[in-house]
Amino acid sequence: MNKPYFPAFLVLVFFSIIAYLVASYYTVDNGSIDIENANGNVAEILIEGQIASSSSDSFISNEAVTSTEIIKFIDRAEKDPSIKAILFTINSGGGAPVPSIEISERIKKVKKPTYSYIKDIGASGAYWIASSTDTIIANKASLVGSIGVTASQLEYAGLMDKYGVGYQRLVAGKYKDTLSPFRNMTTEEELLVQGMLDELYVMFIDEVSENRNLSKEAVTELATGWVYLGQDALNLGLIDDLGTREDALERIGKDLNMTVSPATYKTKRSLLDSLSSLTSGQSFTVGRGIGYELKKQQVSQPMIKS
Amino acid sequence: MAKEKKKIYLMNAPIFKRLLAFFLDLLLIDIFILSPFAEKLQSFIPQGDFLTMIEIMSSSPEFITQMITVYSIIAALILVYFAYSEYRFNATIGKMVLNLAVISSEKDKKPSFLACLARNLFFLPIFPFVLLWFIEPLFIIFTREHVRSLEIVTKTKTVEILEQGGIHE
Repeated sequence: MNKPYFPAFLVLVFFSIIAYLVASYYTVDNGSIDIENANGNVAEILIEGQIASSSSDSFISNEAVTSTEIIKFIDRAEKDPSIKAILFTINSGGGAPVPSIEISERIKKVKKPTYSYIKDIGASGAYWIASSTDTIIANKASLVGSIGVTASQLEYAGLMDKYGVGYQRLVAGKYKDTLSPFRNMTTEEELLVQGMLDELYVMFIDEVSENRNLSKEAVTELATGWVYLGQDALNLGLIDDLGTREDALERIGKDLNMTVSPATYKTKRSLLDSLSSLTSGQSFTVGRGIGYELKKQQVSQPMIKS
Repeated sequence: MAKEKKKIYLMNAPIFKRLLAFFLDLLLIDIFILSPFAEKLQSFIPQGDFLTMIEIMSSSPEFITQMITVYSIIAALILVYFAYSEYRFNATIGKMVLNLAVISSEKDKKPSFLACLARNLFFLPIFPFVLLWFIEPLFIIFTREHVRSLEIVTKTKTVEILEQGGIHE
């Protein structure tokens, strides 16, 4: 009697294809988070590049990390029962204050142990985030700190005057165009902006002081905006330990008495996203090239306006 | 040269062959249907002791919903695979290997798709079907013809195909 093995096998393959489709759809639908080594017990969340509220806030979008994205990762890691701790691997010079505060506040609410590992740099807003974790580990060559606030801007008023370009000021509300690059700031405006920065600066100091259990005086003393090397940061109490990423993972394992297996969280990028980031990167490079050439021309052949 | 026609006999399938066929099918299901969900299923197994596991699971209703959804999808796929194979080929691959077939207990009738679907309802991990995980083995062991309760309800049975005779010179 001939048995229909082949058609029966085809049916099994057909169901296997359906299973693959359903499984992939389910994973994509589930928060669009790509987890490398999903069986891991420590969630590793990368904070790399500029910290922004949304990716469009960054000049080069693919080099920004957004608070929405990081908070989504934290939510996911907290809900996942197999995740025992969260490690934030930081390599950022900071960014906007609001997303940094948003991430920091979310970290403080995490019930699982949190760790930070600072790679090359963990400065300004990135350090604010790191200070919210239970333990900070940095490399001896890492740059840590830069506690301070800045609101610099380019000002073209002089250049515009030179080339006879006028700025027609039409505002309702006398401070509406403060920080406009087309005119000089008044002393009053400078004081107002400085006052705002001072408030943010005090907020930053208070936060670090509370998070790191340091006196306000001690933090104020080291909050010069300067970055410290790992060893100095350890001496000043800005970090808890020195080491590499592997040392950080080893410490988590020791603290929690388990064998650590990191699960790295990343945003799942569609083909369109990848293409878009590729083209934006290339456009930036092309733009930089054009800018460089123009600058060269400007230096060698200054534009003469009749 | 004399030719003798092959004779086919059907008899109630022995328990060990049914069991073996079932395990073979489970192995194929594991490879072909469960493997795409492997990553997802692994994440459902919390590490730590039993109490911690219960605590984590009860503190996260979203996790429970997610787990139930995934398990239900898998169960539905397995159920339809078994039902379709038994309806279309009268056997799953495991049963074919062991010369078993699913037939209707009514004479000259082919089991309908619905009957095939119903006789495999024990795959559903929801109440009351989970009770069948205990009822079905008991029925197989203690009934005279070694049939499952769902086989009685759906008027189907699993038989062993025995061939006798063949070509003789």
